[in-house]
This record gives sequence, structure tokens and C-alpha cells, in this order.
Amino acid sequence: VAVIANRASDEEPTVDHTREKAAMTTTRAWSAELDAQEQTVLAALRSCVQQVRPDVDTTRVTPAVTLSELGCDSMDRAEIVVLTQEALGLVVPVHEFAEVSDVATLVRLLRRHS
Amino acid sequence: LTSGSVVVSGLGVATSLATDVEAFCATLVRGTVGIGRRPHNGRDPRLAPTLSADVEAAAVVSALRHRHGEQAVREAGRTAALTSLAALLVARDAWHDAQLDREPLPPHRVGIVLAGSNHTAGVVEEVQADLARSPAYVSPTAALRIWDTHPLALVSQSLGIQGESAQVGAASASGTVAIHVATRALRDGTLDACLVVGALQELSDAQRQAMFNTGAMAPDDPSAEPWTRCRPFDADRCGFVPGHGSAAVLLETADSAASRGVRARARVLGSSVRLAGSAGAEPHTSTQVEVLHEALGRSGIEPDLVDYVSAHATGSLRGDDCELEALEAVFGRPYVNATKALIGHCLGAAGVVAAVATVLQLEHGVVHPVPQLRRPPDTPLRLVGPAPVRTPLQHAITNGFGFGGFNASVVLAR
Repeated sequence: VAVIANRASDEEPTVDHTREKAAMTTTRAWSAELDAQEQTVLAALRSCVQQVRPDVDTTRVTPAVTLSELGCDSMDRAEIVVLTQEALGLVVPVHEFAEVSDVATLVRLLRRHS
Repeated sequence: LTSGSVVVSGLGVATSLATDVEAFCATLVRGTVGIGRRPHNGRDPRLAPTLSADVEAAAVVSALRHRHGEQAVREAGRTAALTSLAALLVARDAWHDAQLDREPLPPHRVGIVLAGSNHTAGVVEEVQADLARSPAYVSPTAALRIWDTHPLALVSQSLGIQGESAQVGAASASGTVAIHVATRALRDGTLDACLVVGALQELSDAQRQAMFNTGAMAPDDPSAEPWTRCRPFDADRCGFVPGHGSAAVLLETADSAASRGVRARARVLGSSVRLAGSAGAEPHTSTQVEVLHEALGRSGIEPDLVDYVSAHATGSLRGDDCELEALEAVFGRPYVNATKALIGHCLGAAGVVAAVATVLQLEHGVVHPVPQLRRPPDTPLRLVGPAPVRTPLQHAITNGFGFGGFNASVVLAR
């Protein structure tokens, strides 16, 4: 299941710190724009990350980050996405996850189907 | 005779009696019976099998956390089945017992043989429930967990094992056959050490009822104490009682154990596996006799040297009679007991659990009692009843006989 794989982070595990800092700035800007529905989706996603990977600090589940960067492998990611759909009572066709890279695009995709 | 010989350097066990080796040994010697009635828990009240020797998942998790840390519990995964939790527990216990955490071997020189098959009934039931809600909600990780090999994979990940490994299925003889297969891989130089893990078998309601309907399983009697219903070799026996059990034996070449400075708890002298050429449930005395002779021959010992027989003895009418006949044909007067009387029939794992029990009895010079044996058959064999027998033991043989004509025996020595 290659869904919700972040292509870049799968192949390049090394962390680019400049990118990380830029991402943190983006995170703050993006978070500010979360509407109520998106906040609900993000909260559900965090809870599912917690269930699948209790060792991951859920405050790190922020829009600009990818699940791979948090240490989730392909099976963890697939499980998180299925659990989140069930938690939100929605169904997203599997192929649509191909375009997902980070938490932001995942949240947007899930919200589009709610 | 160091080269080519195989020793047991570590043990692990989890049954209805206990979730660690020492406590298991103590309950064996006392003759504690772990058989009870299963709570109804919303199950279909028409289901007939109610007797079982169950292990609570909470007990296994608690032992795993206490001895190996929270990380070990997490390794089993969010939806860990009891089989996976128990496999990690017994594997880590045997690993530690063999001091492989302190005196390691190269990862590719250590293998795993997982004994048993069809132990994923719980995963199937979970997936069916997901499916009923929505096909989209079927857990993707079920694609991993649905394989019988998943507990083996978890153990390899947990302990960093990378040598030749496989799952061995031979019905109720799986555990005994697994020890045979692992021993061969050690003798031919493929591996230096091999962890044989008996997979805890959780039966689904359907599997349990099918076994009951064959007539092989003991029916409940509300007027009797549950522990009295499983009575191997007794004239009043009425069938087997299933049990949850997982066990691990760390087998190692004598050279490897010696070079690591690890003591051998027992030696594996020889073993034999044969088919009766039958797909049915019926036992085969003549094949059992052949297997016993072949295992003894490969061990280089005469039948009279065997002090103790860990019988397959499930409590089934026909099965116990046939085994008794085979033992009488081969042996003189060894002590014989039936561990299934205490912990139930652990099915695919039974042979590994029996091997652990046998090593403990050899070490302690005691043959555990069978409190249910009140009306023993007339036999020259020394069947052990309600009192334990304390006597020095040098050589033992353990049997595993399964549906589909599987017959296996392993000879162990101090």
C-alpha cells in the first residue's frame, strides 16, 4: 500500500533542518487557517496516530509534517488512515490517497469527503 | 560426543497454570490442574464445549511488561493477539535463560521454528466484524496478522534473529515435529542456535464445536468439578480438554553453548517423525512403535534406559489405549504421565510445552502427578497417579501424535 507515502521522506531519511524550520513557520500559518471541520479531522487523526503508535508524541502531528517523518511505516500509515475514516464515519476511495504527502493534504482530503 | 550434539540452553512457557518457568514447574510438581469452565461472555448458549484451560491476555501482558519492559508489549502491536503476546513472552524468556542477550551469536546463525498452524482464528473474527461495518474499515494490518507466520516474524524482529526459519504444521504433533526439524538444522551445521516456539492456539467457536462433534472432546458435567473431566489413561476418561499454551525451547549445538560458556539444561539425543498414511483422526499403534524405536535408535540408547515417558495422552478413549499398547510393546517399566491432564491439550504448541515440562522433570528428578488418575489400566508401565514420584531421571522420551497420521517422538537426556 503506497498510499499516503511521502515519496521524498521514504527515500531520503536524512532531515534537512532548513526545511524543518521553514515547515514550522508554515505550520503556524496553516494552523491559524484551520476551520472547525479541519480541526475535528486533525483531532481524530491525532487520536488514531496515538492508537497505532503510542510512542509518537501527538503534538508533533502538525500540518506540514509527514507521518513518515514521525516514524510511521507504510502499514502504520495505512492503519491510521483506515481508523481515521471509521472514526469520522466516512469512506475515501483508496486511490485518492496517492496524492497525499503531508498531514495538511491528508486532512484536506478527509474533510472533502465528510 | 560434542560435535553434532544438541542441547537445550533456554526455556520459556505460558499456560493456564503459570506464565513463567519456575511457577510452571512448581504447579506441575504439585499436580495443580488449570482446567475450568469458560465464562459465557455472550457466546451462543447452544455451544457445547465449555471446558478449557485458558490463559488471560492480561496475565501474559503483565508478565511481558514486568520481565521485558513496556517496549516488549508494544512490539506485539496495537491489536496484538494472545498468540503473538505469548510467543514474544516465551521467546524472550528462553532467550534470556540461554544468556543470548549477554553472550550473543551472529543473527544469521540463529533461526526460529514456529510450531502450529491455524492459530489466527481471532484475527479472522476481528476482520469479519470490520467487514460487516464497512469493507473500507477492514484493518490493513490484518494483511500481516492473518498469516500464521506473524508471531515468528514478531519474534525475529524483537530478538534480531535472521537465520533460516520456518513454521512447522503437523496438527497436534506440530511441537514435537518442530523440535525434530530444528535439531536437524543444528546437526547439519545450518544454524548454531534455534528457537522453537509453540504457538498458543485460540480456537474459534466453530473450530471448538467441530472438535467437540468428533466425540474426541470431554463433555461438561455440571455435577462434577471441571478439573476432574480430563482423565488420561483412566477407565472413566471421556475425551480431551483444550488448553491455551505457548512455550519456547532454545536449542543449540553443544559446541556453541560451550563456547559461550552457557550450561546445558538438557540434551536432545534423537528424534523421529513418521506418517501413518492416513488423513483421518484415528491413532496408529504400529506407526507409534516404529517412531519410538527409530527415535531411540538414532539416540543410541536401548529402550530400557528410558526412565520417563511424557505421553501424548490426551484423555481420548481410543488414543490413550493405542499409545499404551505402543509403549508396552517398546518399553519395560518407565514412569509415564500425561501433562495434558494439568494444562489441557495445547494442540499445535503441545509438543513444545511437553518438552519444557520434560526438561524440568529431568532437572528436578520428579515425575509430576496426575490427580485425575483414579482407575488406572492394568499395565506393567508405571503410570503416575495422584502422588508425584521423586526419583533420579536420566533419559526421557516425549510423544506427539496428531490427526492426519502425524507421529513424532523426541528423546531428551540430562
